[in-house]
Amino acid sequence: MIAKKTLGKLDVNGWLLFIAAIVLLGCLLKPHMQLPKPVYHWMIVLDITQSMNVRDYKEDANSMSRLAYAKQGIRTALRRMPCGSKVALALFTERNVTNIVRPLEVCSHFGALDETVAGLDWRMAWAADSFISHGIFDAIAQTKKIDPNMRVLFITDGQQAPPGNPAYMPAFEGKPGEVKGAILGAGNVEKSPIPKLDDQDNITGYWELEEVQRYATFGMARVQSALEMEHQQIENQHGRNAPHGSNPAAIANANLSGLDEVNLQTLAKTTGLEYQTLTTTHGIADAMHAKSMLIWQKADTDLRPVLGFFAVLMLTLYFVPNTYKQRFFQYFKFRRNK
Amino acid sequence: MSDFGVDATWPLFLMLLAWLPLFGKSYQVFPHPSISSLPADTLSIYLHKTWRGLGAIAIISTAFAMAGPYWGELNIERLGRGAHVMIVLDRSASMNDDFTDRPTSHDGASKPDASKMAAARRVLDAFIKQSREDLIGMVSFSTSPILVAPLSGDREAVQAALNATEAGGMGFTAVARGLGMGLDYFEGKPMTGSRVILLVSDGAAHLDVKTRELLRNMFQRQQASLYWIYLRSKNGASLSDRPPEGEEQAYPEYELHAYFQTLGMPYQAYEAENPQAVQSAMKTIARLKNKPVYYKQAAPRHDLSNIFYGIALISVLGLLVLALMEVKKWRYGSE
Amino acid sequence: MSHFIPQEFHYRLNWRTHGVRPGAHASKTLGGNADFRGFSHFLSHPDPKRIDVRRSLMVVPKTLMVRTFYERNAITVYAMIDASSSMAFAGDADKWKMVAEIASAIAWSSARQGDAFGLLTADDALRPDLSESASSRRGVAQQIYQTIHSATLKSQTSASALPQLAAQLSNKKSLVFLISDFHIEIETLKTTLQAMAIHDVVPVVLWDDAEYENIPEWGWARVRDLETGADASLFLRPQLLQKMTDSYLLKRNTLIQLCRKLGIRKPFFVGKYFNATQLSQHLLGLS
Repeated sequence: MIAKKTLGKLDVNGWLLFIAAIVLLGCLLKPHMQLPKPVYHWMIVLDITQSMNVRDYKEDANSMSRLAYAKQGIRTALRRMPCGSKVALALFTERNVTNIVRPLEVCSHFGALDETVAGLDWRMAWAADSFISHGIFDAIAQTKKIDPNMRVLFITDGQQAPPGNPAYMPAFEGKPGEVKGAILGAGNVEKSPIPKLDDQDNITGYWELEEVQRYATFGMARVQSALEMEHQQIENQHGRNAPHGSNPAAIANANLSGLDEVNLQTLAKTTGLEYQTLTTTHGIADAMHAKSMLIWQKADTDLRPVLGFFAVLMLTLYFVPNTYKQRFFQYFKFRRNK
Repeated sequence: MSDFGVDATWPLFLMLLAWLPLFGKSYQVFPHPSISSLPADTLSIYLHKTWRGLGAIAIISTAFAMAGPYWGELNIERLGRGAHVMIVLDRSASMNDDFTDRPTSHDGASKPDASKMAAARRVLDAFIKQSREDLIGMVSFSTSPILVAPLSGDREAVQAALNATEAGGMGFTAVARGLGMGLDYFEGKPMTGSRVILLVSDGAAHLDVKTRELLRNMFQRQQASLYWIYLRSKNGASLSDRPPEGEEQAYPEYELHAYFQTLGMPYQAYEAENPQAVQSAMKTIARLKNKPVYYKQAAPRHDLSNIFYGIALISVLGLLVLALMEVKKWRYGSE
Repeated sequence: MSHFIPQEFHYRLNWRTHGVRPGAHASKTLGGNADFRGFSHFLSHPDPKRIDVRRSLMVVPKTLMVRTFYERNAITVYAMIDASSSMAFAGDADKWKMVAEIASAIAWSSARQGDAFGLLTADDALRPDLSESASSRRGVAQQIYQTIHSATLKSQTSASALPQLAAQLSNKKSLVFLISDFHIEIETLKTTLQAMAIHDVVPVVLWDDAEYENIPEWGWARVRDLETGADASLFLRPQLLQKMTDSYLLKRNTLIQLCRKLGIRKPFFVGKYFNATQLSQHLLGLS
């Protein structure tokens, strides 16, 4: 009775407040629902070959290596991922991709992911070569195996070392576009020498032309066991990288490294991935938040912000100067009467 | 260590709407010829200020609550039984091989993957699941070590890293670098529990004198015990069999075993010839490391949203009371 | 034009006019036959019709004496209107409508008494559209009622031009009705009244009950000043209502004091409605 009498006294403004109060009361009950939520599932593949040590990025006047820049970018991206998104980490050297962390939800495992990315280092490379096309194909195959819905993000400078022999390049066996994703080109198109680093990451010198292999090899060699390779190393030969022709064409600047955009773009086209050049630290985050990479996944959604927004709307209407409000309501009354 | 944060920042911009109640003239007013002829009344002035204040508080706290504030990552120090365990897992190509006594492959698909890696994975999996109070991290190594999971209470992260080893091994066994990286992870961290390096490998490599000295120093500085689960290869030698005189170089496993005993820190080796043996080794370790330790547990973060929704609700109720108090008609008893 | 008939009231002056037009008021001009002044020598006023035999016999040395008289003259009556925004207040009654009613009543009554009527209005500036130069034109009462009634008041203006209005008045002593709510700055009011010192000023104070008395006993209200646009919050409760009444009472007394000090007639307070009879009584000094 009293309530009815009290509510009867409310005018339009009073009702706005009353609705806001009811909505806020609803918030206290912690309403939540299974709603489709936009998330991103990414397999991040980071090239950790030595050419990634080239310091051709600049951040606050300090030069930064491609690897450090990419790591910083990944960490920024992790922080910005919406909860429910999953990230797996993989490394690339030689010709295959090694998955080191299976998909992890970014919010609850942010600390672990962040620290793992921070700890990535070029010294973790288990071989010095880099066959970029093998790497990308392998990344796609592995991503598909883990989760076909997962997007693959391949961060590399595209440096092929030793140079690839076009006649023996592998063919892409998957369906282009079956696995979505992006290739991010790191580095500057202009070529720079590849540094040699000591234990403290100080540059002790640069790779000289004489030290690098300048000849294209016969594509893939047969897979060798660790024991075999060890034996071959003792005998100072390399069955995998030596079997080039008797007089192959030498490349004059194989000791320099620049972003090989043309090759990466070709690879992107054959695999159906997108290609972007990494120019800002937010570049990775932006690429990972692309609309085309979005996945709608049902997730437990907190409805309080929605209700809260409604409450703020009611309060705003309540506090909007009367003249505007009257105009607003008159408009609606007019519509209704019409 | 405590941490205060919000989930989303965009609702914070809604706080700007508090300008409306603070400075806006949105209220119903009655015209009066001369308010200077009216007496100044403190209570009335405060009522108006309260109204403005409540409006601002309601909007600001709703917006803030929408941002999802939390008081989180409160690390509670607890006394428990556990240790800081850094798993150093061999991921060399040879881990793909079978055990010495391979399980009978005739009984079909029940054990499709009988490699040493799969066995190690199964057991480590169980280990991770059972040790609730430990901090666990993981370094996998082949030619070079990779930190795959930092030392933390995040079980799922270690699990994800462990699952990733399904892809198979590559390269060869560089034990020293793996151990080095594992030990490095204790560096600079408070010593709140016994430290354990859990080496899981199927072979060894020759260590030179310099490396041996370096490792010994590291073990002693970090006060870390070492447990080695040796997954014996098909043709590998047992650690207990002393190799013939003068041929120690050909048996790096025995050499490494002998070296580990000189570390000056607790050391145990478990020779696991089959999955069952690995399991029993893990049980021993689980028992051994069960000494009381202080450990920090990240308490689930406290959601503060409802506090602010509550504040907003109280403010709105206050506004509602004021709204009900408001005079609708100026003249007494007219109309 | 409507058939509005303004109320009529009567006024009487306690001073003699300097006027020349014949009218109803005692003047200082000799002549006429109504207002006995005294006796004079026949030689100075040679009018045999006015020879007073009895007086002539009484004076020593005997000489012919005549009776002298003052003339009855007309005056000019002014309605001086404060058109500040606060005059738009409508409580129990609409103040501005009441202004129209009172001004036309003044015009009507002055015409009935044979006096000239002038209208002067000001807000922050003079309002020539609401002014009427002094004349004895017929039908002026109805006309100004219409004019004032349909006029609009500017928003957020005060009555700072009131002192200038005083200069527009006739330089002969006139009867001036100052119609205002007297929510004027006390300085402005003083200057206005002092500028009109030679005139006979009747302050007509329009105070609505709804300004301070006839309001809800409990509740919270916010009011906006019509002149300044400033807001005030009022938590209405019996104590505050008492304070408000007291405040107005104080203001009323201050106003009466000021008028007494300046030698002006006592203010005539109008509340819910304008009653011409009451005004007549007030002007006759009966109230």
